[in-house]
Amino acid sequence: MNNGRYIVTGLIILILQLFACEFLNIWPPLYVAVLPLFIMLLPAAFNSYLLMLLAFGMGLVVDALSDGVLGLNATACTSVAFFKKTMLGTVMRYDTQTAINTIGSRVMGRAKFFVMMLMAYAIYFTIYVLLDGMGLGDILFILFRIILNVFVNALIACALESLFNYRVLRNG
Amino acid sequence: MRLPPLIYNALGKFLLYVVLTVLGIALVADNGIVQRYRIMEAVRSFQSFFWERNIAVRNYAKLKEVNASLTKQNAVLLKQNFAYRNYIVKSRGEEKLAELSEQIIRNVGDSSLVEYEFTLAKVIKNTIGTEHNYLILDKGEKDGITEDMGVITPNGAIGITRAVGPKYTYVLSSLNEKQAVSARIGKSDAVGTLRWNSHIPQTATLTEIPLNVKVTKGDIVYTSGYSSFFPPNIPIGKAVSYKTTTGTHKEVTVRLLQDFKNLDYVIIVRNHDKKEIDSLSMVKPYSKNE
Repeated sequence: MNNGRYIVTGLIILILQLFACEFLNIWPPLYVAVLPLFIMLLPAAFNSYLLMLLAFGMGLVVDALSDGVLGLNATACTSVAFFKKTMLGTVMRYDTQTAINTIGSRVMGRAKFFVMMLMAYAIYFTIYVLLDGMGLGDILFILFRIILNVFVNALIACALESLFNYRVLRNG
Repeated sequence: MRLPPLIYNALGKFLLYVVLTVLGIALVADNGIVQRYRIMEAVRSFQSFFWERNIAVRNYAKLKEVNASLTKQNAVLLKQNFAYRNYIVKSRGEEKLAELSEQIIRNVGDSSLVEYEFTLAKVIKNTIGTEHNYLILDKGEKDGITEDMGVITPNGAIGITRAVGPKYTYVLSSLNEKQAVSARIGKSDAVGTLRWNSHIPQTATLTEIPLNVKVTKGDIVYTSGYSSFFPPNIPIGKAVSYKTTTGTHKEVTVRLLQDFKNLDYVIIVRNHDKKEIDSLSMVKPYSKNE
């Protein structure tokens, strides 16, 4: 993907996220988050400082435009951006991850991509759920909420990524 | 020494991460009601942990001074005790003294026989530099402390409990412009209102003293016992000077006996009759038909 495509993908994901916040209220403990997908899809060589600032900014925009608490998405997204290279390093060898320009299931393989997204959402939802509930409620329910959100969102992220890949392949 | 670029870069990234996370949490605390409450609760518990350690170190350093003060207080109490015993022996005889002593020992644990009950508390935090000062004490709900209880030392009325948590109590200090104590001066029994002078440290002003009351420098000011917070006759301060205000009353400048800077232990006062006194104070003197 070139720079223009990343900007378009970013905008689509931002709109999807706002749409999910506004209309996709399936069950209160379940929160659909697509922002971490965009953070993970950006190239491995993308400047880490910029990535954190971008993640914080996008999170803040979602918080401000949706009905949530200002700062929740921003803090969770910043953590995903900070640990991105560590997560990438766990699923891929160092020489491979620096060589690739495009991160996605087509390059990494579906299984590795899914594992990477699981890790990203685990970080995201640990921060999100803890800040949202501030430790209130049963520990088992907090754990259940984190695990449920991680799995559901990782699956949604993989499906969305396949859709973006399909469009990239079709457009050449 | 120059840091290797890799470490420099990693430190920079970590620093930015910390800054953004702190900013995010601050935003969450500012915008979420539950979050604000929980974060402030965590901050306060950290603060109280720190204050307690700080006070423990300070108290240890001042043990010699505290010991001297306690010995002095003990001597005063012994002197008072002998005076009371002598008075009883002289007026009613040795037998009556023995009978009364036995009665007191038998009923020492019965709180219904005493008007006031006292709880010793350690001062965890004490502010003296603002116009609205406060104290935090290490006793709370689990020690039977409630709101609106007086806090004293043998040298003064320190404040009134205003908010009580399970383990700690917030006390509105007498070093507060909005706090007034009912006090009487010297042997005259003239009662007035004592209020702290925020602009002159360690002093307070006793107002509403009638013109005919003779005030001399060095007169001791005591709690009057008219308020349900403080027991009567606790020495608060010494008269330093006085002036006539609006031609009708005297205004006495009082130097406080208690040095608020060195406040380590205080006594919380439970007035068993407070509820009854307060409810009677609310009674309107005339019925609607009159």
